Amino acid sequence: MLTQIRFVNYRCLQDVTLLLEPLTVLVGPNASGKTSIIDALIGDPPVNERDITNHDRSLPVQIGKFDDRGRRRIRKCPPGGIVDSEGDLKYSPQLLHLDITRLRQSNQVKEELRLAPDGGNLTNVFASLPRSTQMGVAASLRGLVGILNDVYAKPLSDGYHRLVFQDRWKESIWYEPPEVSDGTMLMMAFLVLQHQKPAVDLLAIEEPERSLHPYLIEQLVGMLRKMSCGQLGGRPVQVVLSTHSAELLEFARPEEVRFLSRRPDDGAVVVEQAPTESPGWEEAFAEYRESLGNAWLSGSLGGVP
Amino acid sequence: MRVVVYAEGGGEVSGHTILPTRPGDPLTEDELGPAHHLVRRCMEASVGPTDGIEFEAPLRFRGRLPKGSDLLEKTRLRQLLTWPLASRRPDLAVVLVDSDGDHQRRGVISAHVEGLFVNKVVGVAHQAFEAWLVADHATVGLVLWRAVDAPSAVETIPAGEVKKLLRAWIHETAVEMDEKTARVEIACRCDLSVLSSRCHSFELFCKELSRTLQ
Repeated sequence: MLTQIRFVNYRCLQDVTLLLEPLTVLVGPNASGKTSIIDALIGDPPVNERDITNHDRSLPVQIGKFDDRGRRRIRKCPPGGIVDSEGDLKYSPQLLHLDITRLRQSNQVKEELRLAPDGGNLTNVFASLPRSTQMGVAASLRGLVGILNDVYAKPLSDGYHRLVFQDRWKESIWYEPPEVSDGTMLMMAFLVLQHQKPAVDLLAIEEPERSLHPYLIEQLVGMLRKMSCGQLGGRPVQVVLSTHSAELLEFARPEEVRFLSRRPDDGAVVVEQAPTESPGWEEAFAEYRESLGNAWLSGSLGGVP
Repeated sequence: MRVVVYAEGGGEVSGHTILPTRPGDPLTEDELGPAHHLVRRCMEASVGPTDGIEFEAPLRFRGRLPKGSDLLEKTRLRQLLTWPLASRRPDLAVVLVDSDGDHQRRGVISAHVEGLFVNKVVGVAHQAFEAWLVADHATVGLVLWRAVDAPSAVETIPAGEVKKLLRAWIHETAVEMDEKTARVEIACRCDLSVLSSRCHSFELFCKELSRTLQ
């Protein structure tokens, strides 16, 4: 598991150390560095002249990642120089920024074991699961979206197939993707994640709460937390979420959340955490009725525009 | 000294195309309202002239700027005065509310904020904050370039009436001046001793502020 990622002089991340949990939630306004962090977690983002912060152009850009086994991977780029990497840290990451339209599309039939970043191959990934797993996914979907009974990949005449969803009360009615809610399509994608083969080591999801009812958000965060500790999917998958949602924060634990802000004087990103170890935290949190969403929206923890 | 002021009317900014300053960031002089200026002058009267007073934007309630009613409700007020991160906690928080004729309000609000970590002062204007602004008639007349005629016992004027009175004076002024500018100007120029003599609630507030700053 990655324990921290450190940035020096990279874009708006002038001097940032981000501590990571099994499930980490990044919260902050637009352009507060969330996407830059996720880009770096997902791969080795290119470093060029524009990525060097303006604060001190004589310093190298540095992005360092560290895990709980003492491994690391550090990328450095001196001014005007070429990128140099060192360290032995390797892991398999996956980024999801699901696109509702793409989730609904038909797929040309082929075996696919991992969801594409936009979810455009959802039908193929579902159809590639063993039948028993498909039935498990359908049962989970039935438990979360009460109006549905079953789901399957319906073959089309041209070598394509697409997901169809059975009505709970009238078994003869099968809904096409445009006829089910955005939230249903998103939950369908989230439900197949734990069955991907081979499993990834790190999963980053941008704005997972879009179009989801707050009840589903709770189930989603709980499911991702179980994945992060290996209770779902066989082995732990570290999860990083980025969000603007106070509702999602209601289901996150204070120690899992990182609040990102830009400093008003120079625009550098500042990362703050709820002071869960400090003696006054419990009392302060109690004043907010233990609502992390409200505490965040108050502006008292940072991460607001 | 970092100071946060909560006063009625502070939340009436929605619809602007510029985001209000985020909680904890310093307010510019343009963003200060009459309550800030009165607080600053009272602090200076208590501890001597200082340029070290910096007003910060207040916390919000569920994302919005707090309204007057938020300051009267215990849970909301306590949230507005709770900074879990010590580094973000101001040195002083000032809460100014209107009594609206409720004689128990001072005691109730003071009880609401008991036990909080932040150093705080509660001011409860008898009837309405505007009574403090109209109390020094002479200064109001100078600011608005017009004769004003109000009873010296301004705290006996019902809350709604005193707000209307001040608004009417500003609208009928001989010089072009928007309401906020006029109110700020009055707060900056009024004679604090006159306010204290005519508004017992202001006198109490100044004493409590002074006690807190000692």
